[in-house]
Amino acid sequence: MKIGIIGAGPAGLAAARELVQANCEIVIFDSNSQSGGQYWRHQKNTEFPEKKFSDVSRDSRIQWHFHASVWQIENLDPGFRIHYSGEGSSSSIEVEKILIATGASERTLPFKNWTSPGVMTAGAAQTMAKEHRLLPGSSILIAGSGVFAMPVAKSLITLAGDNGITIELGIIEARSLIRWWRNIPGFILNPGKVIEALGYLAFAKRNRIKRISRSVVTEAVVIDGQLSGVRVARLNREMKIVGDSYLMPCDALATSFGFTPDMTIPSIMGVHRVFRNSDAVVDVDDNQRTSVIDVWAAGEVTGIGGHELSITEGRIAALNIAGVRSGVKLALTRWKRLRQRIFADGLSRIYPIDSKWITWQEDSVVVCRCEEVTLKEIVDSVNHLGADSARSAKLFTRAGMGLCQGRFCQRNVQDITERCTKFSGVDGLEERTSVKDANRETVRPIGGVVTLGELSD
Amino acid sequence: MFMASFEFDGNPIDFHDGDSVASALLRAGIKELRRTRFSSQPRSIFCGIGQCFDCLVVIDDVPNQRACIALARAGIKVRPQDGTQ
Repeated sequence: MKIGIIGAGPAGLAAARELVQANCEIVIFDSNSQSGGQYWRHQKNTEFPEKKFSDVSRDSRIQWHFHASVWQIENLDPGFRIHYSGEGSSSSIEVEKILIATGASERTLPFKNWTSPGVMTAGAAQTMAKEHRLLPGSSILIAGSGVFAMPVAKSLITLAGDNGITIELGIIEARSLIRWWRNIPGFILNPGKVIEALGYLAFAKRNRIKRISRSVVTEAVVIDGQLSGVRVARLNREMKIVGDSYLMPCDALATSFGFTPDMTIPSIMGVHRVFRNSDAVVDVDDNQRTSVIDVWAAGEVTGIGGHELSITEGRIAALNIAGVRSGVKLALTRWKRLRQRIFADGLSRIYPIDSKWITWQEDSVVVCRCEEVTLKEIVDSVNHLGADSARSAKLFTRAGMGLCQGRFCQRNVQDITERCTKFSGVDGLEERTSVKDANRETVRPIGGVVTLGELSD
Repeated sequence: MFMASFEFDGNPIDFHDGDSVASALLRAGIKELRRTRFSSQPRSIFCGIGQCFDCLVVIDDVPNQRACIALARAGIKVRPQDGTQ
């Protein structure tokens, strides 16, 4: 049996580990240069960061395709033909079954001058530190919302310590720490997480990390082409800005509002999608099977939940692919998935992204970075042209039509089209709940950038 | 430990083994990688993992290369990208 796994992160590797033991033939595709995904990012030619997955990460029985961007998958019924491009050419491979483990993209929210050099995603700062041993600045702010800020802060401070330098580091968080009571069931079911959380709090204290709650960055201040600081505003309980903003100096800003599942491959394959914690995710059954026969999905594409849940889902998918239908191992793994899922859902209750972020912005803020489309243009497309989804707003304004294929703006454009009324300066539209259909957004015929040259060769 | 160098906009840039074009440039203190098509604004690395296409550069006359995932190689000629090419 030949199985194609798309994505060599925690979910893909966990599945591969089970499937190798079941003597399946495995082909793995990943756009990175090595396995590990985003979570296990590491310096080249160094040890794999997670011992348990070190062997599978370079297993010679697996056919590896790195630098490979999967851009189309044909359903041959039975079987699939996976088309992938990379390093100047496009090729295809036929497989019998597919596991989608493509993970997530970072969710960012726009603010004034967020396109300036010096402003990056928290993931970019993490990648620089982990893979290239490079610090983005000496006075760094991590702004946004969610638990990702802490591991990034830890990587940056640890790297600075290794290099024998001190950096200033602050975290600006939109939500209050008190909200953690919302995840008491998650902590009871996952006691290890209590220890992890306490560890981070102790680390923050020990390293004097400044932590500012219920605040957001409203502007990156650029002087002579250099990032010199950010303007910070306080939020009230309704997530609206109160009072005047103030300046905080910094030479690098890492921003992150959590993650959003990457629906590119799921949408080109036409698997059924549903909303989970306000994200469109792949709809899977108890065995991680999708609506398309012989296609499974695991990890962040089925709902944001972190690497541990991704590993568990990858294992369950693999067991099902390998024909395991019952037994203690399967039952225990399913129970693990349930309690990890409860923790993840709890986190998303602590750090939901309220679409009121739209009210924090000026009209002129760039929402779509690729095509340089402003908030005002998108709002106008709703008010005057009748756009009612990220897709129709894209057709009117080009927001989401650029090279990144909407990975960074589509989710935000969706928020804007769903509730325009809070926006100041534009004739009031009644708050509208547009037709929420997870299968309508993110429909793209081609799942990656592929040049005509690559196709013609 | 610097291994070799490539050229950026005519200047030599040293890089480490495993560096991307972007990480080598950032290490050398170069933040601006390109200018945008409509408003000619400077852009740099944003997502760092090849998803946002904000760090586009021209490598050996081939435009639209993502500096964050393009491997630094000795002797390549890298230019900032101006607009869409």
